[in-house]
Amino acid sequence: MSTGDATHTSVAERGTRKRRVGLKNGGKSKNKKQKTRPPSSDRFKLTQKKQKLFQKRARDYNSDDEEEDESKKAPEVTIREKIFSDANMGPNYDEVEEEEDGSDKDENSDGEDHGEIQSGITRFAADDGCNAFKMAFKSIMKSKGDDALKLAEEEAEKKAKGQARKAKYLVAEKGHVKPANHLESHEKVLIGVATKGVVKLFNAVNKAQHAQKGLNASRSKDAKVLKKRRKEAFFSELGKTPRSDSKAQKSSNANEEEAPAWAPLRDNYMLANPKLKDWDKKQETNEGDDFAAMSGDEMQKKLESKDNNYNRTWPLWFLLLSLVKSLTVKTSFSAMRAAFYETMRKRRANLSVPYHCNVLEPVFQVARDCSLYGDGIECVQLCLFVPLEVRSRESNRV
Amino acid sequence: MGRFKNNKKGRVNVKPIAMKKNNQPNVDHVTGDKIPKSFVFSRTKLPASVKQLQMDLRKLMLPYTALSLKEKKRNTLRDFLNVSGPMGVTHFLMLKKTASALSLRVARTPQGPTLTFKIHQYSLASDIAQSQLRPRCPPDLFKNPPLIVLSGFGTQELHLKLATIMFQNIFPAIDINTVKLSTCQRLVLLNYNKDTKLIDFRHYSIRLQPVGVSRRLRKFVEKHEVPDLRNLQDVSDFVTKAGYGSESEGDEEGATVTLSSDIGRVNRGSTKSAVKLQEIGPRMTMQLVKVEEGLCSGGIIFDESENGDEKIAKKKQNEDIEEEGEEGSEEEEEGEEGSEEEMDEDLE
Repeated sequence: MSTGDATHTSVAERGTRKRRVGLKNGGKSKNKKQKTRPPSSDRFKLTQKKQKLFQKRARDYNSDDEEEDESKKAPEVTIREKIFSDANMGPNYDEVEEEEDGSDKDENSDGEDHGEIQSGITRFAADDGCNAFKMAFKSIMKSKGDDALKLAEEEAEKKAKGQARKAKYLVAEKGHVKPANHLESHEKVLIGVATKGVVKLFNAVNKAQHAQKGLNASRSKDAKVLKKRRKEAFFSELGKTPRSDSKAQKSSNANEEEAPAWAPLRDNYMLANPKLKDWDKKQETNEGDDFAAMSGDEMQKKLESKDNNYNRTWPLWFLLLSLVKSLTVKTSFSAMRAAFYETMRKRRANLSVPYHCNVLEPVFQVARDCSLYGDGIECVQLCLFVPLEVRSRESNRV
Repeated sequence: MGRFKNNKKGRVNVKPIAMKKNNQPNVDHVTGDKIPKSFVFSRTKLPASVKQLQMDLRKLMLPYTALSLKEKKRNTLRDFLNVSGPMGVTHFLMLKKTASALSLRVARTPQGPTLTFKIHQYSLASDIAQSQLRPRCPPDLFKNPPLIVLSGFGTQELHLKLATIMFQNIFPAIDINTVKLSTCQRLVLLNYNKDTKLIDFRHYSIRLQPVGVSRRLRKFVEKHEVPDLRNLQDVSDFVTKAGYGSESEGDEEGATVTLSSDIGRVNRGSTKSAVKLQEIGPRMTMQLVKVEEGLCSGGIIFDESENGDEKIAKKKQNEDIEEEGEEGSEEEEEGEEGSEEEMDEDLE
């Protein structure tokens, strides 16, 4: 069992040693050596015995070696043990290795015995750590020469480089945050917001599509029915009390012209943009209070005057924007509604082409300002019609 | 590969390989809008984790983006602009890492406004997957574009309005009447916090789960896991056993949806299903610092350090018009008139 144990450990050691030898550059390897080597003191007791055993085996293995080498092995072993306390094999290796060329360098190709010797020695020496290295180094340097200074400098350089690299890494990773394993409260809030948005969207889609069930859009007969339904939905929506949930009605529109079967040719082309969810829960209720009442007529006049000024299609949504902003007086919901409806009626004649829906987003936001009610989405349907015409003209130009 | 790109020979070395393989429609047949496409790239060298973030953003923008866009050092913005025209690319998302900050610029080509966001914190998709117990990534998750939810932006501040418009236009619009709910599998959430002026950016995957079915039955039907019937006398015990509902079921009530049609095998039409979101993709916390008129050039409409300006509002109106595709000086005049009126009567 002891031998098995020894072989296991030797294999392990050889494995770590191989890795370390590969890291010829430096200081890093020094540190790593101390990390990779677990402090298993129980093994070191064995190594004394093992050491001798290994030495014996090595001698037997290298039976063709001269007596000199055998005798040299003993002192070399001790030197090597000091050196191997640090994994910086490069320069030291070369110096010591003159005596035995093939054995130390080519660990991989070496006989198992050499590997075992060295691994045993390294295990033994590891305990001492840096100090051992220093001592060994000094002793070698005494015998060898004056490269100590250069090597010490290199060591310092490597340390500095390591630190510079660390600093650089920190700068590169600045801002990179690893999320915690559990859901934090803020994340839960965000997920809740997103879920509500999705639910609203899906509900709207379902309502709209349910209404259309059984109707094929490409058949003109059905298209009329579709249109009619949507119109009804819209009109009913107008008459509804504001508090009711009417998001689904977004998809309906009051385009009353004849619509061809193919989608882009229809005037009510893609009316609703359900993605447009500006969740302004905090602001919704507050903004409503800021608006003072303003008569519907005034507003209508304003709209019309603005319309007449501009020959080109001026995005009415922009007008709405300014209108809303300039509203310092409270506006009754119905008054706004009436005004929009009027304008829309006037513009109905110009409708000819489909429109682009994305412009609705700003309108939606404008409309939300006007909305006094919790959902904010009820008002969208009204405002949708205004940009409808506008955008259609724009798309002409596209 | 080179055969398809003969017309670009000698011009630039930008190789949006993924784009040329699939013939993506430029115009959505149902909605009639131009489908917005995007490039996600960076002009500077990025460290490893930011490169990952760039890759995550590309996946987020799928399918209408160049997934394996390769840029060379000598490619300038002009090169990208030249390529974007024929390919129908409408938006650029540019990441830039300097010693002080990481910034994301969202720009509308060809001469649209540029929004610069400073990213305070980010997490990669792989980090998030590691932090979850059961990360979920169905195979066709990135086949369809994501939905977008904007929250908390308000309507008061102009630069925020521009930001909302920009983000809404990056992703293609959907038509309520014809969209299939099974194609809406992803969601991008942008939440603005007024107090800290930070925008939270999250990316979720949407999952529908039938409600009202006991957990064991549901798992059995969904996953075909053979249940352990050792301790039961009869199969009816398995079916009717009243187990305690999980604590998340209480939260589901707000999140239930009535589907109009069947989605997958499990969620049948006209029954209630719960919407469950699971986070995928990168997570970012960013702050809008600059809005420029042109594509990374032009007049500065909003600058965080200046805290905005009333006069700048004028320019912003012009930007909105440009954003919608209108051109011409008349509009600019009109815009100015409109904004003047606005300013006169503005309570602020």
